[in-house]
Amino acid sequence: MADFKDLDPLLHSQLRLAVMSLLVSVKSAEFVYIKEKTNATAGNLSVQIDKLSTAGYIEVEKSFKGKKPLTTCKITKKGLQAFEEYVNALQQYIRK
Amino acid sequence: MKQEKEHLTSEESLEIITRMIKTAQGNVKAGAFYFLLWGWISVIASLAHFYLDMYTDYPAPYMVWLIGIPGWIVTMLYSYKKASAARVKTYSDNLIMWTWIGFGFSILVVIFAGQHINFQITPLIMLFAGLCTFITGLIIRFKPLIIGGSSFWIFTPIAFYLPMVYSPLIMAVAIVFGYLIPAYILKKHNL
Repeated sequence: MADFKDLDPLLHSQLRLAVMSLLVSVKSAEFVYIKEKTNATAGNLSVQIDKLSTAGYIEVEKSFKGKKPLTTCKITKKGLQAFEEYVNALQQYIRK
Repeated sequence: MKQEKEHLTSEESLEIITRMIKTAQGNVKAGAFYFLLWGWISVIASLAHFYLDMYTDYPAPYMVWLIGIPGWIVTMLYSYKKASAARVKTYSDNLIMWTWIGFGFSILVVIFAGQHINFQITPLIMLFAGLCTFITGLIIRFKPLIIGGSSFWIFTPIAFYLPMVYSPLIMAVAIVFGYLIPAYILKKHNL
């Protein structure tokens, strides 16, 4: 089995990969939507979203919907590029 | 996905990617509402237009299209409500929205250019409506809508060919095939 040292460690993790895969296919998504689709706990998801946001892979916008706080996430160009590279690397491992 | 797993196999990674991408497809059934609303407005207005033009002396039968105004208000309120309730914004929703806004501008041009195009307004509106329905069908990958939109390429030449008084009647038939039937299938369909 090939090792995965070339795979972006930020993406090569279950929840972060799920979040990124969700965000590549949409324009933007609210935190609760991502939480529901990934079945993650709010705490864990927050941590992973912070990591992705710090890396510049996603853009997090905090606002209000009425009186409720609203967190909206959106993939960045850098994130999209990283995701593409990850998928390409993955394909190469599978071909081996 | 309760616990964070840092060691994934390539198969697990791929499985996550495909599952999440599938999950993110928007709720295309919501679009049926607009096709039903505008389908019925257009059928009623077209038939009334045809009746008034053919069997009465009413000088401005096209005025029945003013029932489109409450239709626009309902459309704007409904889409505003939908957009603010949506927790995800998809590219396909965005494309569909702009396609139909583009349709709105196109028919305004057609209506105001009426006298320069020999008042062949109805067939031209049908042509645009068909094209936008066709594109919407392609975006949501829904065959009945693609076929429905394509049917306007048959009905529009008929409307151009027949005397102008029949245009609204052809329009009503085209709308039944192009909007209403696909919209009822879409409503029932489990996508």
